[in-house]
Formats: sequence, C-alpha cells, structure tokens
Amino acid sequence: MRNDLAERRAQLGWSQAVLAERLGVSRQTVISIERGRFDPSLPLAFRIAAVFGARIDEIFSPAENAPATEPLG
Amino acid sequence: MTAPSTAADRARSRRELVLVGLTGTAFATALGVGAALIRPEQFWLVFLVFTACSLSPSVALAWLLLGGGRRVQGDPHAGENVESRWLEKAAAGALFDVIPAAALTAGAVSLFELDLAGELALVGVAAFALVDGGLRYAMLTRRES
Repeated sequence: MRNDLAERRAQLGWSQAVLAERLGVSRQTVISIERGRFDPSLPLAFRIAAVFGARIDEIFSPAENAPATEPLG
Repeated sequence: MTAPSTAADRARSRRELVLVGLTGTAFATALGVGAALIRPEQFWLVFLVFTACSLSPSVALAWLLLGGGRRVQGDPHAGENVESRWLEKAAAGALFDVIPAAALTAGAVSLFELDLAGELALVGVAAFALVDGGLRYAMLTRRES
C-alpha cells in the first residue's frame, strides 16, 4: 500500500518516535509503514486514521501495480 | 521498568532481589541434586554442571513468579509491530529449512552408516534452527527496514 504518512506527520511536526508512541507501536514499524514495506493491521490503520483525523482511504491507497478488482454483479 | 523513587522503594527492591536470587539458586541446586542422583557415579560433576546451567533460567523463573515479573504487563499492540512480522517469517522459514536439513542428515547417516548420538543430533537440530532463524531475522531487518 501507498501512504502519505510521512507528509501528514511532517505537517504536525512529529518525529517518527512521537507518532510511534501515539500509535503504541515501535518506531521501526512507523518507518516500515512510511516506506511502504509494511502494511498495518486493520486496528492499527484505524488508529492511524484517528490520530490524523482522516479516513483510512485518505491515508492509504493501493500500490500502482496492485491487481485491479471488479465488484461482482 | 521505572527506578524506585523513595528509600522504602529501594529497600523493597533490594529485598525482592535477594528473594529472587535465593529462590532461583535454591531451585537450580535442587535441579542439580536431582540430576546428580540420576547419575550417582559422577555425582559432583553432574551436580555442578546442572546447577550452573540451570542457574540463569531458575533465577529468571523466580523473577517472573516472585519479583518484578509479576508486575510486567503485556503490550496489547505487540502483534502489530513489524518486528513481530519479521519474527514470524523468520521462524516459519527456519522450520521449512530444518525439515530438509534433518532429512538430508538422516539420509547421510544412513548411507554412510555413521554413528550419530541421539543427543548430538537433537542439539544439532536446535542449533541449526536457532542459527537459521537468527540469520533470516537479520536479513529481514536489513531488507525491509
């Protein structure tokens, strides 16, 4: 997944450590999420959205090469 | 773990450390005596080796049951950290490496009629799993951090 976590964090003047503490995860987890190398769990994604006052789909988006899915019916 | 802030806290902490140390040592000694009784022909050697080897885990167990370990609370978000994912991937990879490694070793022992002691084989499996898992974890931290 792609995300704009780093930009949102920078707008608030938070370091990765501060964001990690607010989310209750390790700093390495924040680093890996920002670099797109780790997708957060659903509860963590909801906490991230709550911390930034945004919706999950405003922060995260599928990667460019992700397979497109069509709704059934 | 926060540092004790008052003299009473420090005294309680010292008493707790002494209790943990004594209990752990007593438990390790009991294990050493038990093992030595099973092998009475080398009583003192077996006693010393088993007591020394079990001292650290015995003290750790005493800390968990009687010391500060009772007050440690689990991290509710531990499974959400990337390190947990790395550990799971490393452990799964190590498991799938141990199986063919053990099979190849069994084949070689059978083919060449090697005399491999059972305890040596088991230690080898454990050591292989530890080293393999550790290397996989190290590679994951470098590649995905």
